[in-house]
Amino acid sequence: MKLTEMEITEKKENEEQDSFSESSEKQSTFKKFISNSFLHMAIKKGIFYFVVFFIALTLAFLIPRLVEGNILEYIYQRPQGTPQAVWDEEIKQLEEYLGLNYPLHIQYINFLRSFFFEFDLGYSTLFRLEPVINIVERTLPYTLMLVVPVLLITFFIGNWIGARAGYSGKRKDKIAYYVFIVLQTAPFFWLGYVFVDLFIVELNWFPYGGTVPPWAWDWNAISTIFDHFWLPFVVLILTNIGGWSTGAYSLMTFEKGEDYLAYANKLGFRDKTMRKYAFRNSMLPQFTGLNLRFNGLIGATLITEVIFNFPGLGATMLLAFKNHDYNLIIGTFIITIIIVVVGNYLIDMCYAVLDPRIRVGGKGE
Amino acid sequence: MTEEVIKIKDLKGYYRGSFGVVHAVDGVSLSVNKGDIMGITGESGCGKTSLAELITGRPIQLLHHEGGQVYVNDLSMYELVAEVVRKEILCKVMGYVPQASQNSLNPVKKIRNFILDAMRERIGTKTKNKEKVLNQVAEHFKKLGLEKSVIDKYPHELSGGMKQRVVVGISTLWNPLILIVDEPTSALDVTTQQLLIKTLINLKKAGIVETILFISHDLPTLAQICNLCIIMYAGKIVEKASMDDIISNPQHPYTKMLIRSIACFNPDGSAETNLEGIPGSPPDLKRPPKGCRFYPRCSSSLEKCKENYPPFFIPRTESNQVACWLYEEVGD
Amino acid sequence: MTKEMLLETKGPELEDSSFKEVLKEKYHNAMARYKAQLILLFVFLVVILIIVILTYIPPFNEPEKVYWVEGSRDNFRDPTFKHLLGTDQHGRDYLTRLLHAIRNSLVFGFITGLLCTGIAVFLGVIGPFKGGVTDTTTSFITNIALVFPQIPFILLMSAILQTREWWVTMLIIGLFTWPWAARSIRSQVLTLKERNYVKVAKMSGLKESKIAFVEVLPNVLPYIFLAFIIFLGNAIIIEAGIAIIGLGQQNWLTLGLLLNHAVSWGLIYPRRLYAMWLTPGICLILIYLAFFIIHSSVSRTFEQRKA
Repeated sequence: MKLTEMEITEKKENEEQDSFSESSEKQSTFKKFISNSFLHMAIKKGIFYFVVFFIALTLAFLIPRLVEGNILEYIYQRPQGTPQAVWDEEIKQLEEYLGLNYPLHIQYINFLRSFFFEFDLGYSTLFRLEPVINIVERTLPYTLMLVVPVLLITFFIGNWIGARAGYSGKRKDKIAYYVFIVLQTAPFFWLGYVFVDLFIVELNWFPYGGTVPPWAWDWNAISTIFDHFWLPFVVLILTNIGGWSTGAYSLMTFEKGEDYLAYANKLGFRDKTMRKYAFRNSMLPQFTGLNLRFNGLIGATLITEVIFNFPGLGATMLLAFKNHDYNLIIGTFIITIIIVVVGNYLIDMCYAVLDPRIRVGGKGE
Repeated sequence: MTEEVIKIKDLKGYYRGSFGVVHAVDGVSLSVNKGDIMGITGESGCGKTSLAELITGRPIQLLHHEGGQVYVNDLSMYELVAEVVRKEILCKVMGYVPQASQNSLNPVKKIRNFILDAMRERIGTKTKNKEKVLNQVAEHFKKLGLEKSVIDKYPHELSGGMKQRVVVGISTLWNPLILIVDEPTSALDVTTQQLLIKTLINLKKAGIVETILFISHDLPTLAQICNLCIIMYAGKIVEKASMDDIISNPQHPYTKMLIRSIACFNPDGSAETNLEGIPGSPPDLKRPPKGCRFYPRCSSSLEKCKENYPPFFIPRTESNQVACWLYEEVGD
Repeated sequence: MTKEMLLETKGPELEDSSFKEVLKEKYHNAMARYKAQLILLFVFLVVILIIVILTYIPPFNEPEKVYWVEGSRDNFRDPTFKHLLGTDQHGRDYLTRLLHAIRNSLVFGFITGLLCTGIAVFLGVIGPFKGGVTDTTTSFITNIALVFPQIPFILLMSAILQTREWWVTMLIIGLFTWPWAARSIRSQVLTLKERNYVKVAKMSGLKESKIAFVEVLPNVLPYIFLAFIIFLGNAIIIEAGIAIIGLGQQNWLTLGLLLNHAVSWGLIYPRRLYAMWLTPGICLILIYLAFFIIHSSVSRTFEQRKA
């Protein structure tokens, strides 16, 4: 009696399982592609980031215009000899020429149109009316040259140091970990000046200051750029590794006690393989922090560029600020936002590729 | 002619951590013969899982082997080099299905990749003919009622019961002679429980597995499948007997109360109304008492019980051993 | 069976409503274990107290007092015991200025921290509680603000607004650094809302806002407190970072202002007055360390309580 009941329930369950696997096989490959959750997610995130960018763009447009006072008075100072009345007349003419006396929403539409269709961000008053977009194109690579390697190196090395310290727990593996934790407490801007004093002024290992004046920046200057590159690079790395290490250490300590590692141990896995499993799985949550850290790194890089006079977006933005070059300030800001948005999107995609739990939803029974 | 496949001599295992030292397994001696299906049971925290972990030779993180020996097929788990143990004994001779095995699979790897990794760890090189190997694996999984498509999935795509069966499948993949199963049924619903038990019985019948060590706190389940049973309490074994003897004629006071606390049906079909719990709670294993550990809760204790821990006595047959001073004059 | 069920549902409610008692017990446990951290913490608090008191005692209570009549050339370094760190460009005693700067930076961080925490708590709590449209809107706002990079926005605002007032810098920092905390608080409130005892409270007819304050908020307090600590330290450092490149506030004597002077008056190069530009940085390091320790010990205490 008992046996046949069990047989019946087992048959039923087998039938259910059969129907499930049949239906998944019958779906055509095209349908699978369309309903692919990865594509869904890529598109959803893409739209989200575009919305974010759009809002940032609008803010960049609105904020300066909502500030009290005439924008042009901010940009252009009245020269000494010109009487006030004549200057006011010139300002009015300039306003009409630049289209600043239109109502706000018309200006907004013009702004959007010129940005998206012509990639026009206005003209820089500092750089003798060179289009802002050209200036940004020249300086953007330098910022990226600093940001991308620093991000990759601090992420991988920082996580490796923290994970090693967490997995083995031995003192000698923890030394590097402690060193970097101490280093991260120093504010990067202050450490930057310490380096300036130590390596540039005292030891004179590296030069200071752009060797080429701003309007002559071009690709030939790159050979000297590397001399300027090392110090900000090292400063950014030293102050950012600690953050990753702390996270990696605690994640690894937690991951060490996970069931799947204990089971792999009993299946006879080598220590090397188990360490690889633990490392890869414990680093997954770090990717969610990668977004925020990337944003922070962009900010830190902008400031560090100023400190070392490295010709990137940050230094350009400050130069623009000092010279009241309004278009350039906004331009560099918008490009910075673009970097941030694109970077965040790429990071999200990487995370989706690496963690199958995001791609493939739990289907279960 | 019975062979001893597992021989445990005075095994001690303690948990060491920031909480102190917990004497989880404190002097356990045991022999398991070929062909036995032995159940290990007791309250939560009595050391059943710790004992199983120690038998595998690879205890979990905080558990340390502190003394005694474990011999599997005459090979010492703790005296031999770890490499030898890894290659010769684990998986080939002894398989282990952990408690709550839902979490025992690497969440970011597909089942097939995990199995291929396990194979590579054992053989030393990558499997050359992956498809052939995976087909064999699929055949093996079929016996557990798992479809071939399961292998291509990630663990989070499977239900709890399926994951459990996958883990049982992986543990039995190399046809181990001994299978240690730890609380395989506690996280499952009744139907899947029955399926799993049936699978284990089938594995034994098919000769894939010869000896099973079944750990559970669920006596009725044990009664279904085991022929021998061991009762543990506070890190020590208190009674070893055949399953029928345990149920019908328990000797140790703890066993007696354990049997009485299970809800059963009376012979006439009515539900048993006299459910008795066991008053009190197990001793703190950070400071185990020197006498019998069940002494504070035992209703038939002697003066002797407080001072000395009783050795095993054999009241009737060889296979029936009790660690209780009450049986001193009866047995050896 | 039924008795056990009742006991189970009562259990969590008792545990969480006697928050203070549990906290006291865990406090004792934490004391025993993290003695080193607590000693450091204690030392830090004592030092802060001493500094604050010192700023009100002569001769340290006048940061603007000029000691030398012939203003701009007099930058002496450790002349006598009278001016331990020398005097600055205008002849003002640097040690006094440093002490005041520490105190003012901490106050600045405190106020900015309150602002950030207020925004984060507000957006994090009303969402789950009002539910529906409010929740979607607030989480949408939070997610968008989360992507905005802090420092570029702060730089932009500082550049456009040409901030020289401290409260403008405070507003700017406050408006852009709150998103991560709002998200963390929101997820915590969401998990708490689903706990049994809140459902019991709801069924017994308590008003939503009362549930929020009495049942849920006490358990979110650890997170709010931790977020506040992070905001505090963060604000101090960002203020200094912005000031050092010249975009910060300039009418309140903070560590940022000291660093700004160090750079713009050439104290680093060519004057090389180490006592004057290394010391604010060292103070920043110590402040950051102190908040780091506070944060890790507090979070460990509260994690223990959860586990």
